[in-house]
Amino acid sequence: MKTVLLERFVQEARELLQTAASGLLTLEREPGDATAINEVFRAVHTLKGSSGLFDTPPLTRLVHAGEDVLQQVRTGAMTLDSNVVDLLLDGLDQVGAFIDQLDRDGTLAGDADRIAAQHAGALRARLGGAETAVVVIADTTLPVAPPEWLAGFPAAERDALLARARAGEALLAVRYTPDEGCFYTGTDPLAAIRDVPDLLAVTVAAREPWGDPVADFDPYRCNLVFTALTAASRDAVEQAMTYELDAVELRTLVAVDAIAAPTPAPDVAPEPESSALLGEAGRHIVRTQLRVIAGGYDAIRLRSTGTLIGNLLRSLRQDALRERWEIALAEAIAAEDLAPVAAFLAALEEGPAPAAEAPPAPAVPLLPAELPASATADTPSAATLPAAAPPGEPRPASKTLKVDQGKIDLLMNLIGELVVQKNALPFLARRAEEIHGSREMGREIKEQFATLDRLTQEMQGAIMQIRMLPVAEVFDRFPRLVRDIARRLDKQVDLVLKGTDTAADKTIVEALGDPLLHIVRNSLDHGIEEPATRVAAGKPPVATLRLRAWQDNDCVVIEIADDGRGIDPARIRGVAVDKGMVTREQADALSDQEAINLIYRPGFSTAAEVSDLSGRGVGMDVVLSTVQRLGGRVSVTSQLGQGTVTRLSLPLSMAVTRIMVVDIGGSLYGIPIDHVVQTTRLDPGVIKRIKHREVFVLRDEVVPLIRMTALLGGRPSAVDAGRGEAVLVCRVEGRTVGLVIDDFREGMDVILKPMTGLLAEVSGYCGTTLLGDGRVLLVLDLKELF
Amino acid sequence: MAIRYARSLAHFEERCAVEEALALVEFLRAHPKGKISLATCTSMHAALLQVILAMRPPVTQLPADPLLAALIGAAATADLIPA
Repeated sequence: MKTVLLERFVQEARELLQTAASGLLTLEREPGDATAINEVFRAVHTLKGSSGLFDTPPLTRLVHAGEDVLQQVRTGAMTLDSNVVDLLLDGLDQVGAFIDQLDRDGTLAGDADRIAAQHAGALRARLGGAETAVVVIADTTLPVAPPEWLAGFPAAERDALLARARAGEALLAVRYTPDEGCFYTGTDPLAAIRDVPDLLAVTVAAREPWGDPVADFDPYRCNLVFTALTAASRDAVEQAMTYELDAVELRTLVAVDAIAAPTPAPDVAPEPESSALLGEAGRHIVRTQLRVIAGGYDAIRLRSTGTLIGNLLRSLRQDALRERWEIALAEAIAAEDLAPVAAFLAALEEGPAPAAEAPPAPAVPLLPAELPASATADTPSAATLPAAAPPGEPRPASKTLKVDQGKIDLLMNLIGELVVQKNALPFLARRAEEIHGSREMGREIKEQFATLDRLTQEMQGAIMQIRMLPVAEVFDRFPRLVRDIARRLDKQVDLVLKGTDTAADKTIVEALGDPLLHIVRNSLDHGIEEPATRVAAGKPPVATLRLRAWQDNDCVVIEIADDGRGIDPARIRGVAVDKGMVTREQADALSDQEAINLIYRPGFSTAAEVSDLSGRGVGMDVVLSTVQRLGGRVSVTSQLGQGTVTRLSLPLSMAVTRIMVVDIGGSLYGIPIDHVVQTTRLDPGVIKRIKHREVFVLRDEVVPLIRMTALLGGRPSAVDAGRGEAVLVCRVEGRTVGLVIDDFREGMDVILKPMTGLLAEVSGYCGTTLLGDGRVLLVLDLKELF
Repeated sequence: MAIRYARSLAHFEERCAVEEALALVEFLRAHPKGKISLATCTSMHAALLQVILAMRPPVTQLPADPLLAALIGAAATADLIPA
């Protein structure tokens, strides 16, 4: 069930995540930026605190891990490199996904625990790594490998290695659990584990029992768990497994204090004791059973193992141990998981301390991994709490008001009505003068109108301002995106954002996201070259991608410029011909600029290979259609070898449309002013005929004439010989046409109401609006008309 | 190189790649007593290792590569121990 509290948390969490992510990117550029680290830390800390209110332990755990890493960075114990930033960003992404789940379902998905543990593990792994490099802090050492990790190794080999570890050699246990679908992604886990430097021993086991190999075994679902022992340093291991880090857990073989302190931990008791306890025969039995259970969970085999070991312990009169064995066995059966049993057997074979020495507390000495894990989880939180703002301190009241968009839209509609209503006043004034003969009254009404007009205009402006968002809203996600893509493509890109505070209507800014994304991806994938290629071409190895926004009259212009290899018109022509989009003759007739414009045709892709970034042939035509739907334009200019500039030009606001009112056949119509090129009066003598079409020449261009009365009906008015035909020159989808109309009227700003109901089917009109005298004005959609 | 199937014996030759896993499973399903020989195998994809671990065919000869030999050797001996 979703509560108000949860909703608020979801909203707050998203904001905090955004703050944290942008702060991290700042930090990556300037690792010493104290403000940024504090900001990120505060965001993550707040998130952790709030998440504790809900039943979302995986989320809290993950955020906690991130917080611990950040705390280390904050205190200077750890430096933030790109890898850590990657991990943190991945973690934040995962938190974002959790938040989405919470928002959608009110609860986390079933696998959240596992995923959170993986991310948190990867983060904590960095924590430990930094610790060994910088300064020894007790709570960040690697935990000791649990005995079941070591169960699969041949006893002799393991004992030898444990002895080496106890002698002070830093040995690591690497547990690598490849993703189930990894065979499909080209990963070879065997090769990956082979890459671990200084390998001493490797075992492999099934993650889940194999099941029936004949019936339901899927050879392409990876079900392997590798455990490797290595003498390499942690950094070296992580370096080697860098692509698989989220599937890797690292442990030390022996606890640090076990090396320093002369008294060994119970589970690493010296050999003779265990021999004394079990005897050679007993050890053999235990070892055999260990191998049996290594084959996977099998209820029947487990029962026989249970009886066997139980009998063995009874014969040795180890009643305390036998009780613990029963507990482990029950746990294993309940969870259908062999871990407790394996752990017990491994410890038993290792030679646990005799019952007399072992504390009566159950299982703890046998499962040493539990303790260090929870210690790392708790200690840092205790350390970081005082650093946070004291709870009693009043928070400054927020100056922002969150309002539902529907309310603003309502306001916008109302002001639209008011504008229309206000326009009725001049008519009233005229009536007062003409019909009632009161000039005095007429003047007073006009004065009142002037004030009302000013106020409504200001109010309209103010309401539009509410809907205005800075383009930063869309730009903000690009630093992260560009960085990630560039890293993946092994390219070096410097992203420059300019004019981020340029504002435009919310609808426009929000709709810009996808087109921009396509263009930026295209630039990174196709435009920008690999560093080596760039250097060879005499360019700096780091490419520059500029995103710039500025206001140009009533348009907002967004420019995406890269200094990559540019678009080769010849190649575009070739591809377009190959794909059958144009014929060779057509292609050759195109100018270079026209050829470049071909990339906006649906289905066009020059990429030889489809990558996951771009090249699927969707994209640029999506860009064009989205921008056109918003009433904007796209233009691409490119210089081969110098780079490509894509420019999107969009109206500032969608709410108000500027139209020109024209008189056609005795009725008034509106024409969106962005189509209008110029108004002109033509002497009937300059109108020529080509076949049955009328044309005229405008600035050396032959322009077809369309008689609108013929198209829309109505009787054309007589042409005033002295003034000529009224012609509105318009540009519709790149073609210029002259519309012959009866007369021009004024231009005006209107709130366009789309055609609804039965009229929605009528083509040729983009909507209606009300005139000041209450008449309905039809606004023509020239694209549909021609 | 690839896996060469000779009646009930599958010879792994040199590098054996991930695509072979399905064929190997089919072979072992068709020949429940099928054996595999790794004498000339230099490396294999983890998917093949997984097939061997899951279906446990008798391995007539271990590969020269110590890591592979250790992993498969451990699995093969475990199979000989009665429950």
